[in-house]
Amino acid sequence: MITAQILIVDDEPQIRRLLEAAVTRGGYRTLAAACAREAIHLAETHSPDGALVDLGLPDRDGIELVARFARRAMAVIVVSARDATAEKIAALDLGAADYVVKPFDTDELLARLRAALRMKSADTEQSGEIAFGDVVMDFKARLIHRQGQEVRLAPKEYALLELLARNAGRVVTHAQLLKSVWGPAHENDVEYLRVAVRAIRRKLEVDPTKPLLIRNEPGVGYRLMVT
Amino acid sequence: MSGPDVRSDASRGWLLAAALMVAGFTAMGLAIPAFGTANLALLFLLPVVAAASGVGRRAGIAFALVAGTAFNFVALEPRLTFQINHASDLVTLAVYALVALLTASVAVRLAEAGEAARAEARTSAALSGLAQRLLTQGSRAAVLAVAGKAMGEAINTPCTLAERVEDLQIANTADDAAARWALAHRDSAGKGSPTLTTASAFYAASRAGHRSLLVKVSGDAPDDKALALLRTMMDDTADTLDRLDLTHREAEDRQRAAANAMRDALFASIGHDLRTPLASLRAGIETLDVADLSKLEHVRGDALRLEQTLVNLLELARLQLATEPPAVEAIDLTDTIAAAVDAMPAPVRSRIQIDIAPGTPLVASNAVMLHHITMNLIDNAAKYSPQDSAIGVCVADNGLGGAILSVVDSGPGIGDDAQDLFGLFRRGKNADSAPGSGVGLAVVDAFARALGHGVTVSNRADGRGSVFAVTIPGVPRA
Repeated sequence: MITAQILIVDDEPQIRRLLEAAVTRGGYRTLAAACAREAIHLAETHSPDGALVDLGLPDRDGIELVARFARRAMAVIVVSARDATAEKIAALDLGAADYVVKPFDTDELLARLRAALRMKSADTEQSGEIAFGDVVMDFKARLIHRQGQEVRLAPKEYALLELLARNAGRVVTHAQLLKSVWGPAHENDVEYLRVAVRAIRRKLEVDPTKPLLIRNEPGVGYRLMVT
Repeated sequence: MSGPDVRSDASRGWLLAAALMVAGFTAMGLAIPAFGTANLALLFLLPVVAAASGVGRRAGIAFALVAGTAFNFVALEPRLTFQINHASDLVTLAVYALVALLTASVAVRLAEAGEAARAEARTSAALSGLAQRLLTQGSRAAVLAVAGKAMGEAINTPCTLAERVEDLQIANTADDAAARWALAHRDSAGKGSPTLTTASAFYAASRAGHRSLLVKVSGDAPDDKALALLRTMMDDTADTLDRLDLTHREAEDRQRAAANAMRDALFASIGHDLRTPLASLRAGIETLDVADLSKLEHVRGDALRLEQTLVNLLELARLQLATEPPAVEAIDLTDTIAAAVDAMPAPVRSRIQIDIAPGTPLVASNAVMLHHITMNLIDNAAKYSPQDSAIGVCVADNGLGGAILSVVDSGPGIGDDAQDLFGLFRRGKNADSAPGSGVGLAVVDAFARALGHGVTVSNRADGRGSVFAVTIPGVPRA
């Protein structure tokens, strides 16, 4: 198997070197660009599998790259010093797999990158089953088993978990979850989401008050953790 | 009192007097045989009094003459002629006419005294009403507007009050000159005054006080009495403006002092919170031995602390610059705590014991702000308690549909400076040796305030540490 290639886009040479070292350590091949123009050129000529994108680029806003690369089916992780919630949501809604705020922990970054790449490959092979914790979810049969026992979820709960599972490892924004499970009219009814997540946790988490499977990023969205 | 009213009062007076006169005639014609002339003569005094008090001195005299003639015509022999037969009747008529005239003049004087008293009452009512209303105005512009309107009502002509000529919005040069002259000389000028009479309006400046006000009277120039009233009202307004200035200055001084104290405290906190880990970082790097990398963990911890302080400072700045109140949504405190615990460095994470009462309601808060509140409370607990001691993070129903999130440590507890702990971002007296968290608690305090959540700090019931508790309201029932 050929190792995945990751495009690193950051105008700070030091950060670029740090990222290159970390990504190489993670076992991936790297490409590096210091500006958006160069990044677009490299993406078109090399078709990398993923990208780490800084938002503050000298020639244009990195958010444009996010949308462009996501359309190319690349696993995009935003690595930015900007920490505004609205910016995170915008990047995720445009197709970024994840958002990491500088300064970052390189181990954490590598874990996110692995999850994003795995999700991308899962997308392409249309996997019919996913396992997380002691739970196995079968998309085709619409069945969930925990420690071999079938667990029954309400229809909305199932739809919510399926959406999270199909995006396993990545944050799905509150608005995205509400829109696709409850419909566009309920985009802001976060309370529905909280109640459903509570119900799912009661059925699937070992300790629902210390959730390990469904994690929340405050103000942004939910993430299904896969190990 | 307005013009039309005066006219209608006068015509009422005329009407009443005439009616009484006609009634007098009739009564006299009918009743003379029964009552005699002397008694009925008094009847003719009624229209005289009515005309004198209701219309004026001249009307009174006119009615007195008419009444005298009528008395002669109706009551004196030969009746229904203007002839007088007896000399004694001439005396009667003369006395009667004199009485009528005197009555008229007394009635006029009484009416004038009454009118003067009423005018006095109106003036003082206008003045006291003005003082009352001015006191409740918050800005100079509002005071001027209210006073100008009151002056217009008091003299029954539209008035505009200003501190500067420019504020009167004068279009022509004659008026501009008159206004400037009035203000410069603290006198009156313009239409109906002795100076610069070509102006379209009358301008008068106040004479007393160190701040001269200027009034524009758009209409007939006020008479001396009205002008005196305007000046009194301007003086009162100037006094109010002075008081307003003083109040504003005092409030500003107080605010500035509070802001200064806050800034000093914040800078002290920031200085401490940034310098301590930096100093530690430097020392760590300088003594770094490539063969012994155990120190690297300390260096990393210091960098993390710097980062946390920076995040807090940015959050504080963001809150201060925010123009809108924070967005509030339904939140499960399970999520809040899990995310905050996740953000802690591993050594702290392992000390945390979560205890969430089953069935705790969802709360209404801002997820990001509550995240920072929780992180800082945990961070604070970690710093001010022995290494490896447990940190409790608990959620309980508050009995009012909301929840209480508390962070419990095993530190030295808090001294008697509990209030200062939040208010002035100071580190408690018991905290001298611990790494600073002044900025952290400032974030907790500022965010809780902005969200309207209550924060309390107390010692544990068993005296073995402190409890920081945030009370968060529940999600409103639809």
